[in-house]
Amino acid sequence: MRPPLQKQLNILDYGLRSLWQKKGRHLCVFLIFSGVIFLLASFQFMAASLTRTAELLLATVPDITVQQLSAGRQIPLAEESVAHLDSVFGISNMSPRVWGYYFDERNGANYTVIGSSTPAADPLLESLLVSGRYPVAGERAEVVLGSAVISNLDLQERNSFSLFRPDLSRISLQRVGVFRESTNLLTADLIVMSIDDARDLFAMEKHELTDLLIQVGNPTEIPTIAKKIAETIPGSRVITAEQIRKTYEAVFSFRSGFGAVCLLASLAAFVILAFDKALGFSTEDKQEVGILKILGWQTRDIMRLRFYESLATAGCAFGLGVSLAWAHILFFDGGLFRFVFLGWSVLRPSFDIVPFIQGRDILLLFSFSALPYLAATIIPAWRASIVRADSVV
Amino acid sequence: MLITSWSMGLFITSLLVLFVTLRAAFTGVRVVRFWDQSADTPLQIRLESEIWLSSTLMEYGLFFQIFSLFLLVIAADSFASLLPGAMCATGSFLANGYGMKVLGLKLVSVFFYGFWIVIHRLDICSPDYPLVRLKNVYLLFLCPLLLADITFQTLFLQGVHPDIITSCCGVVFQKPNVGLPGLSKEMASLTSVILFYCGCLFLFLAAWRDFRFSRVFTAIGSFLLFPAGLWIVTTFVSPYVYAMPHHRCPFCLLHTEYNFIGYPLFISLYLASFSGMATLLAGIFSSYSELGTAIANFQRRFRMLLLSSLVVFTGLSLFYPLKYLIVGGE
Repeated sequence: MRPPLQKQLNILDYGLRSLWQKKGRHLCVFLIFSGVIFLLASFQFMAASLTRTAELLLATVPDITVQQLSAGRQIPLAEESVAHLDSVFGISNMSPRVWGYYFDERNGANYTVIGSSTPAADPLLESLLVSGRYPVAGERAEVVLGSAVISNLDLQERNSFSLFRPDLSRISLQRVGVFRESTNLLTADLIVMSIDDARDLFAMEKHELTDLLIQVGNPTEIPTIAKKIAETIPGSRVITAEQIRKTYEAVFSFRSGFGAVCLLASLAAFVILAFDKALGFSTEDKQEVGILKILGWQTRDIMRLRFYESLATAGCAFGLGVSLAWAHILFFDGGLFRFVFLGWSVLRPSFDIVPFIQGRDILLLFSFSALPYLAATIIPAWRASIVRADSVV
Repeated sequence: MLITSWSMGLFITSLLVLFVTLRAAFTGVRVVRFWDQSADTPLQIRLESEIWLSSTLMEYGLFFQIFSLFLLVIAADSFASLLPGAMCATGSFLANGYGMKVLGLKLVSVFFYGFWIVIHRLDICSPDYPLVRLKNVYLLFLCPLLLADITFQTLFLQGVHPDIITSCCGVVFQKPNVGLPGLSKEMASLTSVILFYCGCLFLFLAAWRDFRFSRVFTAIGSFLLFPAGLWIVTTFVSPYVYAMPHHRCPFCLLHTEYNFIGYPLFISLYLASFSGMATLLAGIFSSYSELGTAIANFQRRFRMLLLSSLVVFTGLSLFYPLKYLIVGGE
């Protein structure tokens, strides 16, 4: 082996042995550092996993959603405006929809009610069901429920239940299907029924729609078709699936960034602790440096030795913190920070996060944690290495 | 302003670079003012130990700056999914006027940091530290560059908003009147491609064998290699990698779907260019007799690095066009 490389390996070997001998002293810094990395990594992994989960779930979202606005507020869309869209080429399917929120006074929860004309026609939607089917066209009072709705209504094995219209008269409904729990991000609080039942529940007029769902044959034409729809229906708001995806990503990115800002205080506190701890070297340390210098070690060798010690501490703490964070996402669905990302409500959707990790996230976490620690230990390492041999031995 | 983990990571890394450089500059000022090799005063003894601190800080600074460059490119790539119109880092960098400036500044500062390390390594080869004053003056000149870097980076992040409509790389590198003038003006012609690779061959020969003007050719060639290599990768190599004649972008090469081919391509280009210039830089100090052996060793190592990285770069950059010519399109 080449002498310079052998020399570095010897210094590394000495550094690791010295670190192991003084493990009690380094344990405190190591544990706190691992904790800080765990917090930062949990935030980052949570954001990445939620973005991924949203991406997978949004595969079922229609290409374009059309709503009607008046004075900046959403109002019902007239059914006849659908006929105007016949002149727009490239639309493969149009599906009118009535939807809204139903407030359940018994437990203070809000359910999302969707009345759709032909949900069963879409094979992607069919795959969201764990059992049963969607309401069949022409049949009234059939519904598909999300898992949280079932538990809130305390349905258990019963299929029949009733909800209240705005005038407090009852509408009887029959459960014919149940959504999968893996899609709970979108379906936990969901009740799907026929469009006429939804109009009946919300006491809407017969020709009124909440919005219109549009599928486009050629995905590259979506922006152009969206623009044409906006021109055809005056005062309409046209939302594309891509915009929804970007919004989700922006929200999760912002929340993870905001979390990182909040955790900067703990990072700064840790860096100060590490700096202070490294600065306070004992008489034993000074004697060790003195002996090493008598044996022929130079200042740069001792600085290199301290660098290897810091690198080993940072590397082990980084590995432990990141592993714990990954376990936190994998086994506990990010329970500690879930509410920060998803908000909170009576019906907080319970769903399985799709764990997702990228090499770039590890790089980012390294810049957040290991680099500040390494920077904080340079000056103490230098102070320790300039001790004169004759002054301590 | 875009508050994401990426922007926070960039801030932290840049602040670390600034911190280590300013602390090193603090020592640098005192070395420039008070260094006296022949003196035996407490100040001189203190300075002799402090130069180890400043050099270690600068080595860390180089590492942090390289890290920050990678982080910037990946961050810009991640911003692309939030910006309408952007498909990769190109769109993010063009979202405001500071994106390309901060990228350019980081690239330049990595070169300058590297040169400092070369001077420092030469300096410590002699017990007299003959270059100590020079390297500390140089260090002081690095500070404004790094201050400009962090300022432009802050302005860039400040100016990135999810409501800004930017351009995708397919547009920027296609039309002469959009974005990056010079890089995007036209597709590399056959003549320019042949000229570039002949230049690489001459550079290789000049670094391999000593002949008349070989050192001058190595210096000039390696200086031109970096911008010319970037241009040839963008306009000639990238369409073959993407298997799309109209897709020309240096940043999409860093994506998973193209096997991260951009990383070895750009790193080998940087190493080839840097080592060529470092050979010239080491040669400048040949008047210091005590450094003679060290300079010869450095030049030999840098020439080896230049040769190997040039082979890697040309091999990788020619692989896709040759594969297309031999095997055919996808």
